[in-house]
Amino acid sequence: MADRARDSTSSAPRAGAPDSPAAFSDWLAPHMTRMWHLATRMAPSADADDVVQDAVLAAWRSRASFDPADGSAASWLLSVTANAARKTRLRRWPLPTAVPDQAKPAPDTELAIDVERAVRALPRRQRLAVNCFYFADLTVAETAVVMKCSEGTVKSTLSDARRRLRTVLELS
Amino acid sequence: MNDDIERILADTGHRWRDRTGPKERPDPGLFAGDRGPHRRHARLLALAAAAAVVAIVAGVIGVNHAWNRSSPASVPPSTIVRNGDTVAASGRVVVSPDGSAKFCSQIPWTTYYYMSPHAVTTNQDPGPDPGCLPPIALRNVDPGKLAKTSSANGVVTGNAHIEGVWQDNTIIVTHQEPEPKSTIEGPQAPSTPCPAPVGGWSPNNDPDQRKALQNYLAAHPDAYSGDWVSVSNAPTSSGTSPSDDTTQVVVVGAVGDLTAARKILTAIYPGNLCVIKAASSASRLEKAREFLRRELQFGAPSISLAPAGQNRLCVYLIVPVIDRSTWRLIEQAGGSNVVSVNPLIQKIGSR
Repeated sequence: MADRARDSTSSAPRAGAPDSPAAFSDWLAPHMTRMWHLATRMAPSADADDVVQDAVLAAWRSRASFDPADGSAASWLLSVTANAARKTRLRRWPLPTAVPDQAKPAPDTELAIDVERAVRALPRRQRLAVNCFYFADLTVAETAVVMKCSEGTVKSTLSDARRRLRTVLELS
Repeated sequence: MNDDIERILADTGHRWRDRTGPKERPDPGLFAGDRGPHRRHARLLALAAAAAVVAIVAGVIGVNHAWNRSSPASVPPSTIVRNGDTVAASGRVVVSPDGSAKFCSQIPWTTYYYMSPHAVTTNQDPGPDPGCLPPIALRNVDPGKLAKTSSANGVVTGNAHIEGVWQDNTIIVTHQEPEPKSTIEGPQAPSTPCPAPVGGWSPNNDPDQRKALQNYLAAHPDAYSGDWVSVSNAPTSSGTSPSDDTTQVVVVGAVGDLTAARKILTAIYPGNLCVIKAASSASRLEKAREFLRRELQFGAPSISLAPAGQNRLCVYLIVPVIDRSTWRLIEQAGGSNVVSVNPLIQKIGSR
């Protein structure tokens, strides 16, 4: 498993996030797609746009607390998004079992559908790790921030998940 | 070897991302409070105004919830700030070109999502920077010691932890350091005050039944304090939890006979329900909230109804500081049996 390298700090300011709305929007733009991916995977029963908008507003309100010395802008924003997704999941009442169309696997292959089902059946931490790393395209380090654990724990969790998926999918 | 499953997961994830497409940058108007033509954003800001009512400084939670839970009778007099007392605060400092400075009660924008919609209101639209109301004057601030500074039109803004002497709504700063790290994680839902039923909680809850329950409670404001959502880590009847690690349980505070209340409410809401004894009815809480909203005017950045701990609903008040006049109003509203007060400026020493 190769970790993905990403330089997310190049656009970050020296202190805090940008203070003007336009600059903040520009600063945040490169991360929007992955924030949306993460929101969709973590809160599949919610409107991902709502989750991301919650996250964006929360990030704006907390912009002064961002410190590049503590981690990349991407990690910080993904952490904010994960928090928004968790809160949305609790806010939703109940947690619907239906999955929005956009989160459903396209019926291009039966395997893709089987993989999605198998991922959903994983234990919570393993599912979160797989969703972050393989689907939302987060790095191991970013996944660790979202999961609030070490990178080593992420790697071992992913390993456990792959072992379980391998069995469930009956791969030899 | 896991190469096969590694490849399958990577391919599946890649195809999934391809289908979702890129997302555009957020509209800057979202941050500037522009409610113009962007209905979605306007709705979000309206929701923010309605829901961002329990925005809590993390340190305040730790300090004040403790005594709110353990001392239901009254606020300890030692927490009331008087002229000459030493106080401490963390937040944003704004220094004007003329050298005057103010402390903006910076409230991390966190929302409490677990309340009934009818219970969540605020006394003012928090706007894009709710923490700056109302400002507290500062003297002897060193702009050079502010952290994460920015400047515009000669106004320097930065963060700081300050300590100083309280004098007529002014802090005379005697000690200043960069602001301590604060979490962006908001308050969590309280834990469920009832044990799980035999067989565990239900994994599913019906939103229509919840609405019916809320309608019933709203129609009987003298008999119940209201409802809120709690979370339980107890297993569900299916052996799993519906939301990863927690099960949601609706809590209702009943003023009268608990057995009768449980029978009535369970018939309306057969889902996960926990009925507990309440000291204050919704009517009383609402009167207290309205009284404080009226009397404090803009002296409280946030006033709402929210659970204080796991066993009661209360008027949740965030104020810049608990001074004598503020406390008199709180006592008139019912004291800490009814009001949970959370000052942004802490008293750390007496004169």
